Amino acid sequence: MENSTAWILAVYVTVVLICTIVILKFTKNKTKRVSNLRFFIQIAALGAIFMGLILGPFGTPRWLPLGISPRDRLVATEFFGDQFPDGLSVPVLACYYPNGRTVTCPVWQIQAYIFPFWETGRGYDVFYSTSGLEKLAIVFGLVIAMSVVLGRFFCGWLCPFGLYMDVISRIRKFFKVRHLSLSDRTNTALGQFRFVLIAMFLILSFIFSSYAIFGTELISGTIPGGPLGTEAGIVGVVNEPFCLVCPMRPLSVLIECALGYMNFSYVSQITYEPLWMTGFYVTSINLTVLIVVTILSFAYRRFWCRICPLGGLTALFSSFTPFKQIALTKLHKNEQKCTKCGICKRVCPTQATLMYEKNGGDVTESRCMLCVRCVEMCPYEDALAFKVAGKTVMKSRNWL
Amino acid sequence: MNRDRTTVLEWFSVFVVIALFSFSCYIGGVYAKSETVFTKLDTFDIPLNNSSISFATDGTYEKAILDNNVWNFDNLRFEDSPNSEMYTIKISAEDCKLTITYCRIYNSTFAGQQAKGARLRYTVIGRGTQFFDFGLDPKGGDWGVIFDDEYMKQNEEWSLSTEGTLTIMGATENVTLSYYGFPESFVNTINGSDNSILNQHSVVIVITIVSAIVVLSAAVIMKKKVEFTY
Repeated sequence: MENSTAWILAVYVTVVLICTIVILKFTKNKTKRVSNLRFFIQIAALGAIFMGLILGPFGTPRWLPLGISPRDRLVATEFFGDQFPDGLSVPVLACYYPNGRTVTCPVWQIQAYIFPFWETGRGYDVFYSTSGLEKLAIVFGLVIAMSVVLGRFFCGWLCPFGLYMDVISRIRKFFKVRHLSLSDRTNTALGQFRFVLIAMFLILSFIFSSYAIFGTELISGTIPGGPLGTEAGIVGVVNEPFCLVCPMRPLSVLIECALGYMNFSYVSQITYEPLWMTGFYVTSINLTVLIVVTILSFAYRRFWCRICPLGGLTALFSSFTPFKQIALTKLHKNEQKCTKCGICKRVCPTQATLMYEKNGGDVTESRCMLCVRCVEMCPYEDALAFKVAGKTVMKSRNWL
Repeated sequence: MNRDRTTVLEWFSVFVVIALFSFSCYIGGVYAKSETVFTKLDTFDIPLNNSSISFATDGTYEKAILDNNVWNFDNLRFEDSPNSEMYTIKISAEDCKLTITYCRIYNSTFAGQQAKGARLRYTVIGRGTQFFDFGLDPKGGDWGVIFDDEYMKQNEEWSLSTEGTLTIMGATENVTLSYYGFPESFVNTINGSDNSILNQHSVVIVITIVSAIVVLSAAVIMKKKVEFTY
């Protein structure tokens, strides 16, 4: 690691720690202290996820068509090497496509390692010495380990798209516009739809990789080919089907273009037929989804989190049996101290209701993103708590 | 005392002479390499194969030897090449005349690692066969052969021997040979230089162990917490 990189990281960590202490110490409003800290941690996480935009190197000839900043500055590259060169899988929407990222979205990796890289040694600008199955095992191993330890804490505190939606919520509050709430039935249906989305993109990825797995094309044009062995006709651009609709891709790419880190003319040049796809980095579909999600996030808090398949994947390994029993990060309710005032239900951004409905004990709900707003806002001492490995990290206080 | 000073001066003179001599030999050595200049008009004939090789630009070489109907060029440089680039290549042909119009063998970076690359373009008169050996590892990269803007299939219009000799058949006009080198770590992996299962699959093994430890530890912690509660 170059000296300047080490220095920048040391300064970054120091600043984050100091700001954390300052926020905790000097936020007088008890009902906003943790929320402010969470907002700050989200911003710090955004910086960490796209640290390559700060570290550089800038303007290297290899990356110039794409933009001045590096394609990525991945963590633990020496450990992963050619066996797993795409980066550490962290269960946040650390989109694969923009420049400067340090970790990678597991959803992209799962799709990419099913098709077209089942056995192919070469991918997009990387070389693989391991099969797709092995890489999938690594992705799932990492996601499972992180989900068991932190669960959907990633969603509530670290996800950059979560930050985007929280900023929208703050803008809405600034204009004193009240949020809307979905009905319980709709909210539950959306929560279940996440798992349908996961299943859909997995099935599609398998269909597209049928030639590589079974030796037969289920859809015409799915035989890998092209200069790197990765493209396959029109299907080459849909080999990550979820990334076509994910709103994080156009958001991150367009923001980087606006800031000058990516070259918009390069981004806009790569276009494909048919007409419903305008581009590669930014398509008409994911741009539409971004606009729709943005509008809906203005009205409904954290709208995307209710249908995010990555959140669903994290929830699978933290909120459902058998992982539910061993998940280390949980909320806890003391039944004796709860007066059923309903504040926890009202303040929850994803309208998770189990904290209100459950009589007591550990509360593990797949819709909960561990933002701990309920614990922060609960006015009854020790009624609710946020626990890590059985130890109480935060509990509700009488702030009335 | 005068005798001592003389002795010292004598020895010092001897030392200076030896040092100067050594230094001049070193300097002389740098310039002792001979470079032969060639021009566009020069041809390198292969009489027994009814062929000849020429270059479209002027340049120099340290050695050019016809051995077994193959021209071996050492430290071949072209006028328009970067100063640091010199090529050791072997070229042969049968029943044709070929003119090398562009040649580069270079180091580049790919995906953050160093990798070799090569490009050679030539025009050919006569429907013969051409042979090239760039001294590159045949398993160390991918080859592309283009006839007039069209990629040709391996083992049909061209072939690559296990020693790394490219044989081009059926070319009639413009040919481009391209070599896309793999990074060294990938070459080592596919050549099996890191053969043990543990090394080849170290990442998945470590991740599996770490995940298992995390899951087991979490299970133990939560079980103890439940026991403590009751």
